[in-house]
Amino acid sequence: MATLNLVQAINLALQQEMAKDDRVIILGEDVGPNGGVFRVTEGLHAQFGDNRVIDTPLAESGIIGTAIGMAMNGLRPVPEIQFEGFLGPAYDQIVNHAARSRSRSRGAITVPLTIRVPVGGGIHAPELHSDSPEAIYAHSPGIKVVMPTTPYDAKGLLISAIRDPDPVIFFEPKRVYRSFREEVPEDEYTIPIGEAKVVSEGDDLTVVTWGASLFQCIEALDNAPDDVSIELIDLRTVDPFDMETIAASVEKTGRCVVVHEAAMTCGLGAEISSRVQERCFLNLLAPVQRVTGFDTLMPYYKLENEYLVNAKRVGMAIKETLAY
Amino acid sequence: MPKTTAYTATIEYVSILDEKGNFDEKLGKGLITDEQALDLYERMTVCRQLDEFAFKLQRSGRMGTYPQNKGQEAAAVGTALALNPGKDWVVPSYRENAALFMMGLPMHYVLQYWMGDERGSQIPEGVKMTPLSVPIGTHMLHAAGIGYAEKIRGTKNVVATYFGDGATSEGDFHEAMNFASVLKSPVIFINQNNSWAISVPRAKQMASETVAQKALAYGMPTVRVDGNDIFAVKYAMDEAVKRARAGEGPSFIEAVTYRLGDHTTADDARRYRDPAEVEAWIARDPLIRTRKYLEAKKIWDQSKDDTLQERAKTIVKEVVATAEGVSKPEVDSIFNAMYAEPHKELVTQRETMRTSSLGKNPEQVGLKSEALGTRH
Amino acid sequence: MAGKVSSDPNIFLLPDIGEGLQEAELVKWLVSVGDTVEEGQDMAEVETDKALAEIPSPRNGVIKELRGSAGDKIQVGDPFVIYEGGSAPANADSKQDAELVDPQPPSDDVAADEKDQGTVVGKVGDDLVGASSADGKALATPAVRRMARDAGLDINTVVGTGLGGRVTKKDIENAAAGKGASKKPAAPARRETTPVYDTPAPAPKREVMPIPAGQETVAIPFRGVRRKIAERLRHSVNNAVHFTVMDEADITELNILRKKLSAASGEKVSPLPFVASAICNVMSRDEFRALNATVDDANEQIVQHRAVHLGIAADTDSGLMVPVIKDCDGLGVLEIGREVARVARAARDRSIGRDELMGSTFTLSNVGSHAGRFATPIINYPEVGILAAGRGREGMVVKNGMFRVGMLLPLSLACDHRVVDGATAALALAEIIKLLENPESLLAPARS
Repeated sequence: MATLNLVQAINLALQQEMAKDDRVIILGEDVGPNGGVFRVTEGLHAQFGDNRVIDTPLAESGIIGTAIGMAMNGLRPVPEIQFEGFLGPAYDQIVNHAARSRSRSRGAITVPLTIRVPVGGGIHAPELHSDSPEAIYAHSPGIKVVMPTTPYDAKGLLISAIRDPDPVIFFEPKRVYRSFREEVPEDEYTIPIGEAKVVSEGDDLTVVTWGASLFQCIEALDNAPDDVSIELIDLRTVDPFDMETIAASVEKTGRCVVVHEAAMTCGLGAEISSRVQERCFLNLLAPVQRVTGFDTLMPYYKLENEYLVNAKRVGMAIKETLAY
Repeated sequence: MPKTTAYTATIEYVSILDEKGNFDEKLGKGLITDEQALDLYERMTVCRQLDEFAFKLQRSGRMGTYPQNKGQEAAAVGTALALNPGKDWVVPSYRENAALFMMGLPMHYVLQYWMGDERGSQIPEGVKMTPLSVPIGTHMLHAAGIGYAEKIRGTKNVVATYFGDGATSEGDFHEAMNFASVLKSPVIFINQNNSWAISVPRAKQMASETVAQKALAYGMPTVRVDGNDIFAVKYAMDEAVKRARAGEGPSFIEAVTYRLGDHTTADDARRYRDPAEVEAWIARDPLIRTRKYLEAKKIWDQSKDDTLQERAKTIVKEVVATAEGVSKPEVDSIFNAMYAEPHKELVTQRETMRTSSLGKNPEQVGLKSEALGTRH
Repeated sequence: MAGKVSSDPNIFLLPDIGEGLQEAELVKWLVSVGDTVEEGQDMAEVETDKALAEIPSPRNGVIKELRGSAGDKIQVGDPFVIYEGGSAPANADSKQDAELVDPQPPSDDVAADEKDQGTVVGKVGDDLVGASSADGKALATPAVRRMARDAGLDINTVVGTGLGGRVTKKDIENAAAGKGASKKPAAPARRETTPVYDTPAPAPKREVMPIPAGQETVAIPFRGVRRKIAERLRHSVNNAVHFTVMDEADITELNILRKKLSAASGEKVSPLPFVASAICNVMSRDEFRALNATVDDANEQIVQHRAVHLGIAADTDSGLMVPVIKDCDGLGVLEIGREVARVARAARDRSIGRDELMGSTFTLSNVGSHAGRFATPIINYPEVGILAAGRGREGMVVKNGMFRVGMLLPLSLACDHRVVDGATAALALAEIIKLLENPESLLAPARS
């Protein structure tokens, strides 16, 4: 079994799925011979040619709108938006067409589309290259939002997303692209959309997270005292998220800390917190805590590390929640 | 060194059957058979009556807002005549009902849609059409993608997309023109330039003298036609379809026409339009000149017309009865139409018709769920 | 639909023709009263904020009334044109007609709370589920947890008396005052599901014979066990001279104690064994032995008994049966509870032996425990007394001029006046109640 990083795992998933299903089309800026600015689509143009790996004009709305049309007419397009900050121009097409088509036509015209987008900060990049807008799309009915962190999860989830009959935004935590490797099976496998993973089991407190912050949480858990056992949940899918797993955990532990890189107000931590409060009210031993980005823009990279959620902040929240 | 010419272009204007009924035999030869012409005239007449009745439906509270197609019937039927229903696609906005009907959409669907029922957009299987969508100028991109899929499948099917002069201001219009061109998507961009975008006239909408010239920027073949002339429209469409089927990529047609009615029933054009202008365009009505053509060919007369008007009235009544006769949509469809399979939380919301959580778990407060009143 | 539609097809309400309009000014009528109009024919010209518009008729018909004159402002949704065939109320009641086609109006009747009243005898073999959390961790709202913490209590040691064994504010108060029951926190275990709450014991199944459609009566045969029971009741009423004294016991403390016992023993403990124990305690005292007696008509004598063989009147599918717990005064509360369950179950499935249906010296009946307060029970002849327990209810308890809400158990003691005088009966009942109100005293058997 090969040990792959996130870029390689995604590349492998695309390559295998394109070989298996000739309806799968990749399109985006620089995805062809250049292999994508992060090299995620490396080698695919050479293997599958101009018709299936398309270098598009510089127009996000155009990319997504055209991909929507392709999906409406029987293809399985996987457009790439180069950075999450550039989803803006495509918002109308995503939310007002991709997410709406099935409902608008009561199932006659559907959009099996997977939009790949690198997300999140920590790579010392300029503005609009480091944001986390997943809550905006989670709030829009009709589209699913997936954010795997590990190579193994990414491969399984991307294939599920491509095969899903409805539109999916597939966020790829860019600071994890090359920083973590693990064994990824060559064989075909899928991970269901909407299923969380319990990364480690525990009885005293539940940490819920997704995206690159997973690693900061793991670090915080490593630094926690030995007599405390913490259950760590990686959601993997942000919308619809796996409330069953979260509820079962909090019923057991009675304490919950939600960690996300995105800004606090109206981030998904608020939704999770609310549902935990509703479902597990009688089991709660402490209020649900959120460790998140501030209600500010992500600063330019000199101050980036002040903004990003780190193991220390996660650890503080864990400690305070345990002490409550 | 002396300057050379980097680029020149001319745009042709095509008119074959003018408002007085004069017919250019040379250009018009073989475009539309007598049988087809009679059929188109009948269709335009039925659509005109449906349009007028739809207006009355709205005014008497039986239907919501409705945009009249009045005056633009020729651009719709003339283009659709060149297409193959069930194979070629139509990606419409909302002022080409006659084309939709020719391409297989049951007539009552249009009324059902404007009566607030999504099932009016549930395009029947085998009909190659996208449903009406409200954001202006965003659907042409879909046409580019749909066309691309036909192209790589090698079907030779084409995609006709309709939009107004206002839509050509939207960014997505330009992106669609660009994408269709570089992808060589078999798309025909059919611009119904009806001179008005609600109350904004073309002269305020753009500095371009014609809409057709916008296609030059994308290296796309383009032409301007008299949009109220079914022959001119068919002429341009035949050429565009031929190019598209041959793999030469997209074309642009500007059909110059006029919106005889208001923007929608919520608008009153008398507030901003010069009555003289409207009068002039009433004289250019496609129905008038087409009838003149048929009469000149001795295949039409007053008594035939009376019969047609009656038949149209009957057809319209049936269509309205069908649209009004459908059962109320199921509440469940709100939830079931979001995804192929609704996820757990959606199912809970559908079954309880609540989001407040205690209502979903009534045992938590020792109350039976009936006590809290579940749905229905 | 663009607005309200009247439920009466002869009344045409002014539609909203412009996306959110509230009113329109009538410019002029285009038709007159008495005119026959066609569907689609313009009837009026109106002016709105958005447009000058004609209003066409939605149907064919003959005009009966035109509501409004030129210059009037008509409200959207008000009756505008009335057609022949209908009667239109004056505009003042127009709201009556304008029914909005509204999907599923919300239901707002809430069924009564069905809390566990602690019925005296639960149905034997009930699945009364999960009184407290499986792994010993208390269930409580955050506010209550804070109270516990402020009171310096480990909430996991406080017995919860709320829904599903929740620890309530009251429980914390009692625990803090040293009055409530406490328990050892069990070792934590993984909880499987969210807590499930007590469901009240369902009323016993009664043979219900509906009168068939088309008939005025239904005939139910009067024989077998039903007939036998009827004969016994007749005999009792004919011979014993019945009188009844009634009172209520405050079983608030008793409930706390029995729940503690339930939790500790893992068995369900209802108030019935406590009542049985109280009876045994009182009946074995000399001054009340007169009630623990049977009448021997044949020999014209009254036989007083030392031991208390307590009959437990049980409701079965075939009617009333009275299985007997021999030497009940020698049993502790838990044992009584088990015995009750055993004989009641045996009675219900008719596996009970004849000897277990004989020989009682006093009878306890809870047959009315699902509803009702006081009763005038029929003595289980040839005994001389019977105690009936009604349905436990919340009520006011007044003591030393102070009052609180407590749980009350109504008790009705019927005696044979040939044998028992009023004062004795009343005093006996008072003693029983006194014991029930000091439940710890009942934990040990009356007779060791």
